[in-house]
Amino acid sequence: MAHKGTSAFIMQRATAAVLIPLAIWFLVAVVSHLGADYEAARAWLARPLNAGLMALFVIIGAWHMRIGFEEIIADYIHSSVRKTLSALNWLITISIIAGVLWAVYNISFAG
Amino acid sequence: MATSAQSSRPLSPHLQIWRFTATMAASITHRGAGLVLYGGSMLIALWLYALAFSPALYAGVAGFVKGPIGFVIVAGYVWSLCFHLMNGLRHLYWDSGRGFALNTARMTAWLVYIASFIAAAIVLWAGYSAMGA
Ligand code: HEM
Repeated sequence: MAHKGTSAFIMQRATAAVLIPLAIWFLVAVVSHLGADYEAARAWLARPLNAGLMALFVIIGAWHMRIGFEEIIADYIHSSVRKTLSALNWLITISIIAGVLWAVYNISFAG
Repeated sequence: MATSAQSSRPLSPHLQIWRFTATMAASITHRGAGLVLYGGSMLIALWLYALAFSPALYAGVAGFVKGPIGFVIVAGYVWSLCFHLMNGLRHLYWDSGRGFALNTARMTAWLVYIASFIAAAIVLWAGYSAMGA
């Protein structure tokens, strides 16, 4: 927590708290659809509640994970590699968020 | 960073004098699980991307999940999420200023290991038997 100070600390806790119900939903609802075929999985995710919860789980999870990984970098990496890892962390986080929004939007409205 | 005067001082926690404890293991596992979940988030994004745009890729992913390597990855993610979630509750409880008594911390650490295994086993059993494969 030493580097970005209290706002990262609070965001880490706030996202963790919101992730508790979302993660339980994910474990119960999504993992039990593991074997679903393409059509069935699409139909399931096209329902607004499922689409919304899925988007929230992945997006809030991505934000929480970005903060957490930044923390890990700050703990172990003290060289110039740190900037590269941090940039990569942002890139992966943004890609996950954009990709998931795009995919869920497509399944909900274009299907 | 450290001057020579500073670097000759003993480090804390000391690198040679320490004893294994469940609380310590849980703290390391929490970080490890966080990293597994990081990888898992990327795979979930890929899975959703396939579901939206590529039936062929989706079929590939679905087939992979049923295989032995796929099972290990899914099981690793599910257990990591169960552990990280339950241990995260310990973190949030500490943040409220409670749960620091050594005995309490040690007991809840063991509890999280045991409960996360049971929860993961149930979820995986339900998931893979629903697959009917
Ligand atoms: C998508 C799911 C999740 C991902 C990808 C994720 C990822 C991470 C990562 C990478 C860290 C940094 C690890 C560290 O600093 O040691 C972390 C920390 C943390 N996570 Fe998660 N996490 C997820 C879900 C959750 C949930 C459901 C909780 C529930 C309480 C939670 C609570 C925490 C807490 C409290 C920390 C801070 C630990 C510390 O300060 O040492 N996380 N997470």
